[in-house]
Amino acid sequence: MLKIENLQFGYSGGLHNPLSIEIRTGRLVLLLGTNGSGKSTLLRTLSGILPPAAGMLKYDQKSIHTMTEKQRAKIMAYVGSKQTSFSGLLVEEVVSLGAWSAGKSIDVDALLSAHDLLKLAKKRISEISDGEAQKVMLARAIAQQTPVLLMDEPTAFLDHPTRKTWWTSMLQLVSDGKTVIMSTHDIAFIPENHPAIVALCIPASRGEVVVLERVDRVGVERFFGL
Amino acid sequence: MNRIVWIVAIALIPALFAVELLLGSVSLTFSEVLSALSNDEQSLHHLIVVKSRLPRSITAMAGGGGLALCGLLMQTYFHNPLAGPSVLGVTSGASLGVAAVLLAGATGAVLPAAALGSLLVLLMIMLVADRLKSQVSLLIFGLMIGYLTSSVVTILQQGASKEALRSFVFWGMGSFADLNNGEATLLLTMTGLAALVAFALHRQLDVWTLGNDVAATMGVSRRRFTWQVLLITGLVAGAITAYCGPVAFLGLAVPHLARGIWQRGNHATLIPAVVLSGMAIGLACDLVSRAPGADSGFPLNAITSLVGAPVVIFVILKGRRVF
Repeated sequence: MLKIENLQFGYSGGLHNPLSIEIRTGRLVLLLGTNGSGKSTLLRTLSGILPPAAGMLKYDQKSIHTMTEKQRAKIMAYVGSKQTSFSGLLVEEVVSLGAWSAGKSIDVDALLSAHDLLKLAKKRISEISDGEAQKVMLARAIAQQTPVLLMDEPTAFLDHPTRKTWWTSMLQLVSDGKTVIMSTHDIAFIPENHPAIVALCIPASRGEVVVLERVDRVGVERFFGL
Repeated sequence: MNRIVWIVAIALIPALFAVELLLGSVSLTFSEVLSALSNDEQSLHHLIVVKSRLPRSITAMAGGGGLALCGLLMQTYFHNPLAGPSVLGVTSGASLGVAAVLLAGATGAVLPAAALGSLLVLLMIMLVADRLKSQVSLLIFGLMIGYLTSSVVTILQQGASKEALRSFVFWGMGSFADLNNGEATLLLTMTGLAALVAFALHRQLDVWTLGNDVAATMGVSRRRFTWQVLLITGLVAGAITAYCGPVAFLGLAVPHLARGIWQRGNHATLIPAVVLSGMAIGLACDLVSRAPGADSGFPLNAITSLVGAPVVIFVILKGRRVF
């Protein structure tokens, strides 16, 4: 179980109110908000990349931010929104690095074919499309075999059909017992009133982060003031 | 295919090494070189081969391989295909250290001064790297460090003796020729050790290419990794610069040649590939700069720039698919 305790994120002068929430295993937590509201900063704080301005995030009673990078890599995997054009690694090398980073082994070919990536296995990650690279980075994060998965706008580069299957596979991951936290602008794709889905609505004006335990379009649009 | 590339690369080094021993202002036969190597009389051949060509060839291997390794590590660390010890001012930092001690007449302290200079510049660049949003700003920053150090060096030169000035100017042209066998072997050992340490980090280097954020969540401690790259690069580039002068372009160009030849981007392949090709190219550049058969050679930097500058142009034209 993940426990956020009085967490403040971001840079001094622009902090939100302290956030406290318990996230049970097998939840899909959506971070919603306009551009610049602080979704990426919250994700980078939750994944341990940034230190929190105050408060803490605990996994099974242990603070994420006092762990070593190696310990953290066994608990949470992160997929960023930046592209990876500075890597000359092959797709299969990237995916197997995921398993290496968590000290685990994995059947790379099986994982690649499960994600429909087998035909790209011998391609460099810098020469495939942005959308394909995003799928590779998800497969790499899955290869880390962590209980928690964090993603920053993972569908940003995906086409409409791929986006649809992406959401299906997220729900599958969650029902398999993973906790997934992702920022998204895909309001139209969110399954309504799904029991496993929680939304954290982050106001651009700072202040209180609104927690939606039941996510439907009306509630989300009300938050955005639509 | 891949095996052939490795065999050629490995075979090329002893071949070039042998040519280095054979050719020069005095051309020797194979048996003359062998007998010069085996007896230690003060014969002319012995002097030429053992006291001049042998250390020079060892230095060329160490210098080429070491600078190429530094270039690879810097390109990976900064996510920048145009990074390299000479471009980012690391050799300028070493030059400043060397200038300070050489022009003051303290020739004994050249090595630590150069290492200190290059480490300081690297540390400075690593501290500001996050603030430099574009790849070009990083290069301009390095360029400015180069201008700053060279103006300080010019100011230092004003008070220096003619003799000190002369040796500094020659040092600045770059040369693999100024070491004795002991120093050359030390430099080669250092490059070899650095390559082993870098190889032990090959997966961390791979992870780092996926971006700093992703690396931080894949078990790579940013602080420790930064120190590791800083120490390997600073010490190796510093030592080579102290002994051979600020050698241009080898560090920047060789990793791209190796990427092109081996067609791989993982560091388990790239580290040995880059070191081997650096050694071969170091030997080849030295050979050309000696201009065998002619009375006098060319400055080493004229030759390495001839090899390196076109590679830089190629990389710029190739755009984002360079890695």
